[in-house]
Amino acid sequence: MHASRPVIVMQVPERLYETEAEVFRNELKSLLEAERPRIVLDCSEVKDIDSKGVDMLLHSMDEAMKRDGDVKLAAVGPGSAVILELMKVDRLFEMFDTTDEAVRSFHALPLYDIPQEQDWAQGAGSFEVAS
Amino acid sequence: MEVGAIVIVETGSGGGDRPSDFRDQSIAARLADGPLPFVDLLGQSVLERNIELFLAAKPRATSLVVQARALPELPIFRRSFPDLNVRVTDEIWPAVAQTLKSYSEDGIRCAFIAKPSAYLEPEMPDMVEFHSEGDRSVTRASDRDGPLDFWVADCETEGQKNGAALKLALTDPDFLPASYFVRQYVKRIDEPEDCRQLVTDALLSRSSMRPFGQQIRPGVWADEDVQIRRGARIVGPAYLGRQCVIGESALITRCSNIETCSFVDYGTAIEDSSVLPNTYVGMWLDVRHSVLNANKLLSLERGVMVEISDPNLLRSNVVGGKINRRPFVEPETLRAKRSLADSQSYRTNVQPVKTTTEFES
Repeated sequence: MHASRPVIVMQVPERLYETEAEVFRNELKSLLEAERPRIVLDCSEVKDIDSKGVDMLLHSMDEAMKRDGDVKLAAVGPGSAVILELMKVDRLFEMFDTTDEAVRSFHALPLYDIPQEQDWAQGAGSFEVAS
Repeated sequence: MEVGAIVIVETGSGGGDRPSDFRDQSIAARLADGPLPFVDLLGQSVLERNIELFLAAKPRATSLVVQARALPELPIFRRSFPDLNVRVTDEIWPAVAQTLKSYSEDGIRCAFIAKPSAYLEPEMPDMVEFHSEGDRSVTRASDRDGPLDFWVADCETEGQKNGAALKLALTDPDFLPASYFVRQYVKRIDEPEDCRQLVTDALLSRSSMRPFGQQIRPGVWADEDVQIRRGARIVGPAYLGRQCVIGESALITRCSNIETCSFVDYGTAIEDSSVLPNTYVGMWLDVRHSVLNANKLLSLERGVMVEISDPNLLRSNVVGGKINRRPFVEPETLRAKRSLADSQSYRTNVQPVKTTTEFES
């Protein structure tokens, strides 16, 4: 049976400068220490972000991936998107228009979870092997 | 050519009066420090290029009529214009009428009048001939997008009008001046996208506009005192402005222009973008399809302008301890001169550009 871990949605603060980024990092810390953390960062409220804020996002993703998890971004505004593109990190994150889409993306079955136990030649299918 | 020429500079010359609330300003007003026609593009402002356009037609007299409020925003000219008469005034249109009248008294029959709201390359003799053959005292240039701020006017007739009547005759559609269609290159400068397009067209030789400086290799122009550091790649067409610095491993490509005293730091890629004067662009950044000025970035792709508070990313560049920005004639000098009744000739304080370029490879 494939167990589905909860996806945590965190609201990123309006300003993500050095101080705010540090505070937010501390809030995320316990979540990132879990096994296979699945976190969606809701960026809909973000108005200002600087290089320290981007560093914090990268650090969060890095920590999550170390534990076989992931951090995805949702509702990134155009101003924040410009900063992420400027710093060449836009391609590192999966970004979605809404938090729902980001959460759903975690629940889509990955390929390696498709059951492979049954031998296809002796399966329930009604096909015949051509002679 | 027995014509005169008048270039008008007033508030609203491409930028408009600036409202006090930053949020209410247009993107152009928020991005640039002055009206867009005053911003250096490929080493020279559109205003200066308009003056050069007039002087190339060898008129008998050329005047620059500047509204006093617009004076602090005037760009520094790259060339010296000893024959250019500069007049500073509080009321533009009466001064323009007075200039036309003085031209008429000097025997000049008609005069070009222009506001630097567009870069254009009209056939000036052809426009004068068209005007002479018509029966109107004013001919206005236009292109497929509508009328332009470029006229030919009879000096005697229009010089007798007061300022308000002259302004009406030139700008009010009810007065129906004759219309001359400009088939040559025209680019209105209303928005930063227009600046990008003007630069791209010039670098791709779609217009006669040429970058200021030398072509150091095909498609790459560099002004004086440019530094290109080790490992930096400049892929033409591209322009590097006076005293700009391109850091190690940086990349400048796809019709990008780096204007005067700007600094592109280590590893940054500038692609299809304009870096306006005195701008520092931080390390390992990726700038695409944008216009940058100091700490402001306008993404043309997304249509959004961002003010970046992180000085490691973008900031105003400092040259020699202070920003190289000043009016081309000192205001104090002008206030003294304005007390005189007669207009005077001014010599700009910029020497002709040196032709040698030094850079590190």
